[in-house]
Amino acid sequence: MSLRKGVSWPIPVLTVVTVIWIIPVFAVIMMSLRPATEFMRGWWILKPLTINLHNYITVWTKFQLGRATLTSFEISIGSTVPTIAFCSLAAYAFEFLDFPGRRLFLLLFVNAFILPMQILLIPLLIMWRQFHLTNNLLAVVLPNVALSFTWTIIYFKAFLFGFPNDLIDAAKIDGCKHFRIYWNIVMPNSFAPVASIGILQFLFSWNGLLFPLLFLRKDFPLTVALIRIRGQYEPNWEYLTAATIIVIIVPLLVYVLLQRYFAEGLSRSGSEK
Amino acid sequence: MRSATATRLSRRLSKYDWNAYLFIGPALIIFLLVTLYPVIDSFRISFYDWDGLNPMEYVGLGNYRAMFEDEYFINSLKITLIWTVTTTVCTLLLGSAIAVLCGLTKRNTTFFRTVIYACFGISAAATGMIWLGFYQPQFGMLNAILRGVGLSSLQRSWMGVPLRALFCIIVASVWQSTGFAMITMYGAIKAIPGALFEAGYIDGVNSWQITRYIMLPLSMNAFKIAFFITVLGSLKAFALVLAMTQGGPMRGTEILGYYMYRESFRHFRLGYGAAVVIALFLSVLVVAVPLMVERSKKA
Repeated sequence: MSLRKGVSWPIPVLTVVTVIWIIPVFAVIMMSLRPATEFMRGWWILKPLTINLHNYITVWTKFQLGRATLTSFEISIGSTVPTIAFCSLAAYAFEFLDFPGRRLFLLLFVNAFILPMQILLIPLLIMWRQFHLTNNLLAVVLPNVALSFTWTIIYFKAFLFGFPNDLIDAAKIDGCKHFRIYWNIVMPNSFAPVASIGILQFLFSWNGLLFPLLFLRKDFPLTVALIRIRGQYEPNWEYLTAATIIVIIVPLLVYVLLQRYFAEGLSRSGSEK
Repeated sequence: MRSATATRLSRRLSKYDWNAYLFIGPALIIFLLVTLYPVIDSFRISFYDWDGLNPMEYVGLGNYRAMFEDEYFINSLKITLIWTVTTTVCTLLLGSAIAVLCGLTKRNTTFFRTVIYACFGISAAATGMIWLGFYQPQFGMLNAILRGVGLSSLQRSWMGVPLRALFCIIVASVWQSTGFAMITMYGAIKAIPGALFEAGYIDGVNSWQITRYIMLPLSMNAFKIAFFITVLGSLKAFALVLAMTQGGPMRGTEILGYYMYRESFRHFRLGYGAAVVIALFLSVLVVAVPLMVERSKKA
């Protein structure tokens, strides 16, 4: 229907760019599947070609990556569920209710995006020691949740701004209290923001390195495990490449399969509304 | 936006609703306890000399004075500047260029966008390993490519010299974050009404003019968002340096976010580390003021 003409010369250019983008990852995949004796001469030399999961099995058992994977899931889910619950509650209040301090608290949340994570480290380390929370996953989950509010509350509030008034007014006439409205009307109709906030917060927590590196002693997630495998001296590339793929497999699957639920949200959470 | 909300509020409720505190309560308590209090505490600690074990000793502005007398801090400032400017410029240029290319063609570009965007989902720790493999002197691809095109003399130990190692990390960072700039710009370009392009094509303009006079001006807002998020992200960066060089060689890749970590948790100069993080915070603040004003107005 559209009269819009397009050119086709960008396609080869984009192909080249995309290949350049893939190659470093492809190299790691190739190396992770082959013995070091083969890829030490270059992973692109295909003779001889031995492909097996030996590196994965070794690194998985030797560095207890099963446990690290579990910890990664625990941290990510533990950081995501409270974020969704608390940011939606707060967004409801900021959008629909008026109360003393409303503007002040909102500005506090909105502007917290300027904080570098590093500014929390020393005080939190002291605090976790006092509360006996070192090596407790809460030590990572709590700051993950707290730092999310600067984008999640604003994002959810922007969604509620477009929420149909009729639904809420009808509930009010029926005499619903605010929590009933929130729980029975708002939340069941908020799939879009819940999905995008949930997926993004899950990914950010999965990829987090600084908090678990400093706050956890025994149970650490995959990102920290990867840094440990890298170690201080010459790295073992069989372990390193296999572990790298194990760390990135979940985020990559999420990005490729679920992109439509959050791609827009990510850009908009920057400053929209 | 602000007035719209205000009307809505005044229409709905003429009085304060104290239930609101139950709604913002959980978020507010966590935020005050785990974010606002630590920020204030960081300021306090920066006035003390402290190794984490012995009693804290008040030194006033001593840590800040020591900071500007420390050649590694000055070095770190320079590195942070090079790092932030180069990463931001390259990420935005590449991201915008790819978005424009995807916008110019009528063919399906989902595959290209998905691949480049997916790299944004890879953690900094893993990105570091992927690129270390690329730069590895014996079996890394970079040296092999140079050999292959007959430039063997350019082969290097890529991570062995300060400035060179820094640029190697910058490449990794740009590779990772371009997807974000691209998707932000692409969203804006796709939102431009098709009629504008049609008018352009009827007037017989070429791709460059479409880009220059339609796409770029109409996606300025998205560009601003991508710019701020990229520049703030690089200022606060830490993980890529830890994964790739741990600040070396010869402390030549110690951006501020990493320098703070090292002084605090490797050298146990916690008071000094707090002062460095305040400096980092202030530099973020200076860059972020326009965005803060805009977000506050909209909130």
